[in-house]
Amino acid sequence: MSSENRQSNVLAWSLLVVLGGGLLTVLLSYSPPVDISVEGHRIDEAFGYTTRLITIYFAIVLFVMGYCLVRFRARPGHSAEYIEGNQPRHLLMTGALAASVFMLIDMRLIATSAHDASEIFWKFPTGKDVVKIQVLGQQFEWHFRYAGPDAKFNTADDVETTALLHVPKGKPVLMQLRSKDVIHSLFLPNVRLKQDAIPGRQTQLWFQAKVPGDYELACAELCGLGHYKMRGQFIVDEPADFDAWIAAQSKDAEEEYDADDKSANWGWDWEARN
Amino acid sequence: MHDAHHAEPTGFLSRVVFSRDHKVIAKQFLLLGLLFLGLGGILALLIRWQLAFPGKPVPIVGQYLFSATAGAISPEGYTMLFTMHGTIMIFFAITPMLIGAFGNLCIPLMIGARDMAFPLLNMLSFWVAAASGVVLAGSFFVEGGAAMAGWTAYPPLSGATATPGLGQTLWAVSLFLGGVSTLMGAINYVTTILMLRAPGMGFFRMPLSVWGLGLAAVLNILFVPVIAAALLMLILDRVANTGFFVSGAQPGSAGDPLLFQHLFWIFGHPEVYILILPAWGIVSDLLAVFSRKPAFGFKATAIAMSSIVVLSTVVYGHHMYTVGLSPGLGKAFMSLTMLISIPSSVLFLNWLGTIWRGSIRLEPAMLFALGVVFVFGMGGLTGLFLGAITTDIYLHDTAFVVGHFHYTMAASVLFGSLAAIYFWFPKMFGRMLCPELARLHFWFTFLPLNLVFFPMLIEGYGGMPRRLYEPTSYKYLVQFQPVNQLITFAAMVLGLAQLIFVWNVVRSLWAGERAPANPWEATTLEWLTPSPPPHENFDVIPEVHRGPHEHSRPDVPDRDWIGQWESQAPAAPQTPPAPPADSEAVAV
Ligand code: HEM
Ligand SMILES: [Cu+2]
Ligand SMILES: [Cu+2]
Repeated sequence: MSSENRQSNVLAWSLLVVLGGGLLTVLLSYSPPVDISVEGHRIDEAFGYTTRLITIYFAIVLFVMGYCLVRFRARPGHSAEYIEGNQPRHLLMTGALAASVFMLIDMRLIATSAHDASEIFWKFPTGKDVVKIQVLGQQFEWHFRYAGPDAKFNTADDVETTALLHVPKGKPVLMQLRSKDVIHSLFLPNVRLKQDAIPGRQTQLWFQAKVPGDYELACAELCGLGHYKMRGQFIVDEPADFDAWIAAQSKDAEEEYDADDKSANWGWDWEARN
Repeated sequence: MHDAHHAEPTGFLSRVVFSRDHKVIAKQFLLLGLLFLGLGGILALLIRWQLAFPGKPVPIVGQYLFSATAGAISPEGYTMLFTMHGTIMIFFAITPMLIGAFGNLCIPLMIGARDMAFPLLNMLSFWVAAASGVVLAGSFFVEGGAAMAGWTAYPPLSGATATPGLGQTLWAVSLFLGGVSTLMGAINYVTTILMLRAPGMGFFRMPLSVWGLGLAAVLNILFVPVIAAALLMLILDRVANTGFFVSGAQPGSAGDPLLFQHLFWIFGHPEVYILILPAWGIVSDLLAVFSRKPAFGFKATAIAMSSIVVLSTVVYGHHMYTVGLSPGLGKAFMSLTMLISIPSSVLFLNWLGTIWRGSIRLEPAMLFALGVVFVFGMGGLTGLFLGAITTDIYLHDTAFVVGHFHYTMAASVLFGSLAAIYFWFPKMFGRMLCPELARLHFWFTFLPLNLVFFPMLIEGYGGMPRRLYEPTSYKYLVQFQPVNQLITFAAMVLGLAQLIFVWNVVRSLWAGERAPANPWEATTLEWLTPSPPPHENFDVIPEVHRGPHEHSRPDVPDRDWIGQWESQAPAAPQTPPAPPADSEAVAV
């Protein structure tokens, strides 16, 4: 390689590193929507440490690769070494490295994730203070139903909203999801959860919010041409505000109740399971 | 089985169109794949335009393609675009290139056979694939337009009520035909590898490309029938009202939409390995050739690939963590999924072991092979988050998934195909490609590609759902518009850079330097034949004396390679035989 050639190579690489580094910094400055739930941090943490570990792992791989490409480049007087890599010591080394990567990175993620799935996110709360909500997906709106003062669903005092979810701060919220037409997926970025709503099935989702505010909810599963419009408002209230809201809405609902309107009374018996 | 010489057919039709010669069929598949790759790429750019500049008229082509909406893309158009982009790229671009073209070219040549075991079946496999491509491309022009349910086509959305058009039915019919073609090819590949290996070609002397292609064929034989069954049921649901996948809102009413998801992913997960296995094999071989060393841990690589094949059959549930799996099932699928990282690490370590202490020649094919190592690393590692239940619950159906699978599937397989093209083009067409243009092509593909797919990971972590016609419809996503524009700009550069490749290929076909028999000083059997190889490949079936990557053996003087066909090292440095003067250079 001529020295001029080498110089322009060095220039190109430095330019690349500077530009790439700058871009990476800008990109990494983006973060997910603020986590407002009691348990969402578990997902952020699992994401965080796995990211750090694989970054280190990948950096090592790339470093070795880069080293080889520079150090072992074909040139006059240099020749390759005949290594088959089939000796027991090679296999042992490869096996040990692969196994330790698995134990250091994967096992930890598996353990956390398995625990969090079966003990937290998929362990549905019971008890008196659970706020129960029924969710119906429909092209292209989310419907939510609260039992109202009588604590029974599909009765005159039910509160029903469209594209608007109210929950109180500090209480576990349990949802049952169904779909009227195609598959939808209720996505609450601020609590890090999503759950499909599937015709012919009933699914569940639970979380507990801790920061009052006005957030957004989405549909994550392609459900047709209006999929992108299937947005909703997601409001976390102080418990007293929530109770007041339910009471007021429920009163309005009772006045407008029409027992024969099948499509308006889409709720179901809470205990019914599939 | 197939030992006697057959006379070479002479008519144009039987030589070029309805040929049963595996090398001609390879070229046909390559052409088919490249054409669809171009189409799929154009669709991708249109998707990107909409994501970066929602609702703005598409420059230049918009007025012709979307005249009804004054050049802007409608939600309908957008849904068609990503559905058809995904379908075309997977089944009509990548599959024909790696499996169709290089499966056909490499398997017989590399194992020392005169042709495939079933040449007629081979020809039919191509023509069925072509027919299914015509059906799919034609579906753009039927009333209501092309399919609109995503490449995964989950019912009930893909059913007749939600998506009534003929396009969606044609989509299913086309994929069914594609499955028939793939199955014909796979049966042929497996039989050929089992029955037609040259004397001395034991399984552990086969090049890793053949391992990858053979293992992919085994997966195809096992799982294409599953997706074919699902497609058939979908077609019946649509045209005969059967209701396999249709149900009402009440739990337990009639059919079950989830049945389709199970069938789809039982096939769909192995499918991603079907696509990547040939690329892994090719990369393993190319790294060895261009490092002038044996592939490090050859047997371990072959066994690692085989164990991934086995594991890939029992992990599909990781695509369904959000449907309401029972926790026990979810955890089982998660643990099995994560196990795949052990053999994957073995592959990586062996690749590094191969270049370690080599004498590395950065030919274009080598650059692309190294590119695969990089992008597959990105894809494999980001896959961890999607294999683990809790992180996947957040990331599922976001742009993170799109970034991840483009790294693993799109980028790796694309680079694998390009590496294969740069490597075997001289053998296929008897001409050399221009290496300077090829290097330019590499850098203008590799750099923008990362600017396309890496930012998608960021957007996905930021909560951006995929398949979103208008990202700005969510307030929390507005901040990502500059990122979307960056991706789109990079995608345009990426698209334009492919013109360098097209120019290089076209130029070389007419005016490229004639290729010698063994331009890369490689050791596998295809390099024994002239470039391009004659009808039936070998005058005499060669005898195989050693493994596939015998480079830099200390006991071979003067040369850093010794062919599988050579019984002993030649005494003096040998020049490879010149190509025959009248070789049919550029027939496609
Ligand atoms: C190289 C240039 C490519 C670009 C710029 C590109 C870009 C995109 C974009 C923007 C989407 C839409 C994502 C969304 O809806 O949010 C997409 C979807 C997709 N792409 Fe690509 N892509 C490329 C190549 C490929 C290749 C080579 C493959 C094949 C292996 C592929 C397979 C897919 C699939 C399966 C989908 C999903 C479609 C769906 O959602 O139904 N892409 N791509
Ligand atoms: Cu949706
Ligand atoms: Cu999978």
